[in-house]
Amino acid sequence: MDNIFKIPKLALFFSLLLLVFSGVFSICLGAANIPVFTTFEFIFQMILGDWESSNLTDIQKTIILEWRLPRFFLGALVGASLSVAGSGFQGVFRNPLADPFLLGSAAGAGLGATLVIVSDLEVSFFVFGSVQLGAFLGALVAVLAAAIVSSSAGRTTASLLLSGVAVAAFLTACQTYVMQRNFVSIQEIYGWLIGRLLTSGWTEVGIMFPYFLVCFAVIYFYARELDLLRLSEDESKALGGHPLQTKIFVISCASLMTAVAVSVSGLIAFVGLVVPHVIRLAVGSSYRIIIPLSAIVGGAFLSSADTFARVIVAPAELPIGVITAFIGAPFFAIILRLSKGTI
Amino acid sequence: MMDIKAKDLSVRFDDKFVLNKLSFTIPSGAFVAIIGPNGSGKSTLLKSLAGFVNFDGDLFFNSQRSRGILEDNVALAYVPQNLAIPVGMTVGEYVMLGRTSHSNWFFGEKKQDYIAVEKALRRLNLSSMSNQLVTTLSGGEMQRATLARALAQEAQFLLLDEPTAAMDFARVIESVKLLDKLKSQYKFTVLMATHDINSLSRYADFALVLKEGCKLYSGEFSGILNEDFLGKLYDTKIDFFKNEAGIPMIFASPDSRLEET
Repeated sequence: MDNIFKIPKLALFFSLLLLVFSGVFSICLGAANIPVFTTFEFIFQMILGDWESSNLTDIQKTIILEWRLPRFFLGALVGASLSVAGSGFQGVFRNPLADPFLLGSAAGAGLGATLVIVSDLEVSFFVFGSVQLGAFLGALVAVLAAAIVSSSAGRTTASLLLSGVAVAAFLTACQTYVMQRNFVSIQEIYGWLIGRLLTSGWTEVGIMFPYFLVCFAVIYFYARELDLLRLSEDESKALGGHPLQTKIFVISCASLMTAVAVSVSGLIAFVGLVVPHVIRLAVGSSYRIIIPLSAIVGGAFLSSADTFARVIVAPAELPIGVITAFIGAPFFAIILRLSKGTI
Repeated sequence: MMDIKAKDLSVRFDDKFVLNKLSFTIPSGAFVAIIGPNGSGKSTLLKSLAGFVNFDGDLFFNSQRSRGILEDNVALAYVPQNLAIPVGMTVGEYVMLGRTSHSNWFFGEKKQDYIAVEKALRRLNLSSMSNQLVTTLSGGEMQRATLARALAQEAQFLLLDEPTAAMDFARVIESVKLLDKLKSQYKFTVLMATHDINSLSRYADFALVLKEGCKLYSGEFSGILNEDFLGKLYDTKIDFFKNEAGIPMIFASPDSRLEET
């Protein structure tokens, strides 16, 4: 018995390798292919500060620096955010099926953002813009609604899931109604909902990164508490845990992460559910392992999915959610079959 | 000495008294059986002593006013009635959770935490199972795992809510005996809510008896071992025997309440 609750070095190495590979794919593949070796060389030279001696053409450099590199970072941040938020929700709700999508928090973020857009509200609070603020509050309200409905219905896995589905359906209906009533803004809302991974650059990376960093740090800080919550609330208290505080901080940060991710990429299902589970089954069930590895693997998964989305029907693009579900769903089904009742 | 003294301790849920003005003193290091019919408030009493639920009245802990054992930063192990068995957690991890308040929040478990866990696992004959998943344990093994967690935690109070309810009668006696042995070795106080008067009669030294939220009795365990008292407690006729070794055996008589149904 050794290294309880510690990330196995091999798993960390492979996850990072996965992230690097997804980065290379994302940079090399696309409408204009760039040779892998030259790309590596260029990245090394860039790190060393030597910009001039590369074999790449100026156009290739521009494609890498202004187009594919920020897109890779953004995809990785969205994937990491959704996966970490999913792990956090699974932890606080003590429910392996909790994820930003199923709990309705993604739908809540969508409605919140829609309301802000149609009402032309201009508020900002601290670093939040008005749309992000609306999305965050929407996500938070949705999760709390799902939790409250399910708590009076017995707080089982099924009841939380069912109330999440009900909340999501209701909020989506509200959103559709609001959109139909506001033809003028419909373009802007759709743009927001479907996501802007397509058109985004370093600015979006800059906006998203601090949110991710803070929320990840908070949720990771509570990883030990989430492990205690796998017992019961009372046992957690007896062992020195703070269940209420944990719930408040983890739900808030997971909702914020979801809202920001949704604001950048639109509604992407499945990532927050699949990634933590794969890690749980392949590496270990402690949240001190799941949360950091979810960030890395989630980032790799989403940026790879984005690359596929760009490449498969190039020069057109598939919605990224299609790819995540297309790869994720069967993969998850296989894992579920192999898990033999350990979920 | 860690005596617990309660004076007029009450708990209300929606204007209904679940515990009604209980006053008692529990001596330190005792094996306390909390006894009473279903719904008499046993679990709530354990939870209020622990500090999980708010109560009215006074609780003194070492003569100091207290809002529950937890509030006084005294290590307390609690095993609920419906034990959650975490999926995917190994026995070693489960016992290591007992070290939470001992280990460093940022840098994780240190060598002494591993030593404490290994010692606890050895004491409960679980060393060979440390990498096994808790979901694969039998009822008795799972209970030993909870006790190992309590030892790793260096708990001074062990609060158990009907821990033997799902065990066969051989495992019940085994586990009560083990608990008694650990108690004398590690000098903690055991508070156990239970229906199993027969198995405890040889080991428990203190009884706290509740009915409908009120205290019927607190004192030496042997004081409850009579037909009249138990008959009144459970509203039934009691058959009371002693075996050759003089150990009392109590049964609800099959003759009781027959006319009513």
